[in-house]
Amino acid sequence: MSNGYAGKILVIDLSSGEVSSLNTADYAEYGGGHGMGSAVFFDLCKDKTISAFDPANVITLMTGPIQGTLAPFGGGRCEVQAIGPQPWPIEWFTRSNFGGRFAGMIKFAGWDGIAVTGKAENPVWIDIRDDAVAIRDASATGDGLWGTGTYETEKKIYDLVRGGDSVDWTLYGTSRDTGRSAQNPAVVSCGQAGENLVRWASLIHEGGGGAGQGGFGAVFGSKNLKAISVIGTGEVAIADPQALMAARAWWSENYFDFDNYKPSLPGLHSYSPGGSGNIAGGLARGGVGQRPQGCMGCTKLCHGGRGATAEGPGSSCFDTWYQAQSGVKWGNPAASASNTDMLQSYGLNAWEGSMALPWLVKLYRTGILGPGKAIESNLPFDAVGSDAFNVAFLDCIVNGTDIGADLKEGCARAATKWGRYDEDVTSGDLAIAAHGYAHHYDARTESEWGFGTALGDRDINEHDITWVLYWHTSLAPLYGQPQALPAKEMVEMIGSTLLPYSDPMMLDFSDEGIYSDAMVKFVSWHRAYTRFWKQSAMYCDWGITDWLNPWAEGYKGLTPELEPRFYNAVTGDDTSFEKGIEIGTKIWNLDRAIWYLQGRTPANDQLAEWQFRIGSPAAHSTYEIPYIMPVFENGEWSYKNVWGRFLDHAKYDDFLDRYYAFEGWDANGCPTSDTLKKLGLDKAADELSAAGKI
Amino acid sequence: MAPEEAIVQTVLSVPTEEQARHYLQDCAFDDRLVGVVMKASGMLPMDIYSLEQTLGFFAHDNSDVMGRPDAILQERRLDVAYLAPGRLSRWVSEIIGDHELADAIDAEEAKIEDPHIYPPRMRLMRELVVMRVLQCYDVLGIDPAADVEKTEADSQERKEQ
Repeated sequence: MSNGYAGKILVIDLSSGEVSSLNTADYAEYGGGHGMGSAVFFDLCKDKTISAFDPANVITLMTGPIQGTLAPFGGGRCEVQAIGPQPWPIEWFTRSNFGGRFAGMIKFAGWDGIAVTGKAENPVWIDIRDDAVAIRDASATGDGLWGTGTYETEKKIYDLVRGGDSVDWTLYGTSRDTGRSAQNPAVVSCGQAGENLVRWASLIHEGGGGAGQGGFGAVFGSKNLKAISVIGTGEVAIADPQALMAARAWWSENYFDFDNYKPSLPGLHSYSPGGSGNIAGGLARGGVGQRPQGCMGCTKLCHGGRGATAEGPGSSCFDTWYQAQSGVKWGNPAASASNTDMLQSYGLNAWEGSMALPWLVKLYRTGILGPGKAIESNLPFDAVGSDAFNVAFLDCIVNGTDIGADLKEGCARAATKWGRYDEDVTSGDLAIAAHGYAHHYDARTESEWGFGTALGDRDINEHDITWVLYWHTSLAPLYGQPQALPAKEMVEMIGSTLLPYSDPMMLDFSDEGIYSDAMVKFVSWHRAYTRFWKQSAMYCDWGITDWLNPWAEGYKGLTPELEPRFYNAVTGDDTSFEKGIEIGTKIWNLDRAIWYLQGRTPANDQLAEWQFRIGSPAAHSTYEIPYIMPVFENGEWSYKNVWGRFLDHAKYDDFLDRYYAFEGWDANGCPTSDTLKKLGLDKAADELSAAGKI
Repeated sequence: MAPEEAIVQTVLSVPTEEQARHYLQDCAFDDRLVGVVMKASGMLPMDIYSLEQTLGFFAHDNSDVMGRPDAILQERRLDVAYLAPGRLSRWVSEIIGDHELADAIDAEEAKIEDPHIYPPRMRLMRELVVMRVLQCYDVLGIDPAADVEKTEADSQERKEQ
């Protein structure tokens, strides 16, 4: 088939050692990535109420048609799903996503995804070389991977797979025509954190790529699975190569290209000299061997600016938050790069660590935590920010010693055990937003982010609105620059792309607008858009949505043309942008059905209490920032700083009621049988019915 | 990149040893200053407990390019370590107890043509705090380079392990 798909999905049962496959065509209606992963999980995980560490949990690493191709932002993305140990209080079926070249390599090996179930008796790693799949011994008496960090694991696997040859062609078939490659295998692994079942353990791919949220590193650890390595010597069959190349040229003309720098708009595209890896560059760069690095097929090169120890694309984005909190802030910038390396090598999620530190410092400084205190700890909090503290802090979490015995369960669970949850989450000192996940962008200002997070399973981490209608609009005036467009023109231009609605009122972030019916519609649209185009077709969140393009006439973005254009060139389909929204709605409902099978209730759609109480009060223990967004007030559009407000319980609950109705869910927020069947999710309807949920 | 030229004209008087110790003290949790690092990947509130820590906070800001008119378009890296107008001077006055520094910040801020434009405001805050912290180090005989060298040596040792 020349449609971007490899045709089969690899299934590995670590309990039995059985290796089998599924037919991709049976799941093609979901496009790829997340949609396929949800459907495969639904079929393979018979009991959705199990814990994340139950051997029957199924973890999927999925690709889609455009992975391994030249589709920008999409070539390297890989979607990871399973019941995750990180979400709180229920371990939701959840997701994460990472870039690099793992997804492309899966495709080159002839697979569309990997599903792993069961639990190996002893530590193992999975070695995929095209069609050949082997479960190998990772223990100390075997290949010696267990107990090592992620970087060391990758190096060892490179040697094992290539027989020590890191320069020349390596033969994987019986002759040069049956499979050889000059590349290293693509490896994803858990560090010691995952082995020791730290609930916020991540999966790491090369220097800084990783599935951070969800605790998937610990899912690997619970299965005695150290790593998956894949080397492929095949290719991705494209339906219309000429159309793909034409699309790539069109995109190159109308978008940033590292080799053809064009000025941007304030705050819109965070590029730096040496690649857009400035996200990390300011803090994590070690100054040694730096070069811009990007994911397969992408020219944005987000992973530059590092190089002290990284083997591949360097740490970026979230990773740098931890070193910001742990080093720079305390006057110790020299420790930053090594702090981040340590975090990645252990396989820990930077975001959770970044939330934990200021909270723990508060507990220490207020006499609640420390030697002989209510929360006993001998960590050197008087030296927080130092190398010595960071080593002790990360070690205690990974090894479950000192307060790490509780922190390895995540901040929400630790706070609950320590009797601190209610007080510290009400005050906001422990900045949990929802589901135990750290605050990121703000529910009080950006409702699509906060409400979408509450209605799902995790911090959504989708920067569509953020960069255009908060980041650009807030930074431009800070720098004395004009807004790209007046508010009315801006929302009308973006609103026209919100197909099939095309309603600019969906972008009203005023005090009333965030609870409006139009916002109900926008949150629903946004969940569907990201579920398909970002997480199933898998265009990277750092690449799209292109709603405000600095290089196009009138700043008109490439969305909604970009998304289907590349997808259709690869698949040969005629999938419209709106069709993608329809598929996204189906996937969103399938996920929601799984969560109800796990025991979800409307209480799980709530946001943490501080977001209903804390705005921007006076005194030193708070802050104000510009958070300038479009608002429709008194019959006119304008930009307004919406920072300082907080949410209203009654209005939020009313919003939820109208949202449930809009989606075709019952009063408890569960998709109804009719809704599921209309979407073609009969199996989900039947399973919910059998469980007495609907 | 060339070092920035100083933009503040104020010269702070040299503190006494007692004042210097006082200015460098940590404050209590309830008295902390909270700033926000605005980055494309998210915004991060940061607790600041001392005058020295404000410098760690400002280190997140790419103000080294802000003086250039084309910086916002050419340099492309936009991280802002944001403190609202008047917030730092009030904290310095009421909590740190350094009224001279607080007055200097207010006076220099008043000279800025458009107070909503952040780069010059951030720079003057940083320059004045750096001036005061270095004065305190000098009075107390603290070598600021010593800490940096030790940290770099520690980090190198860790990498080699």
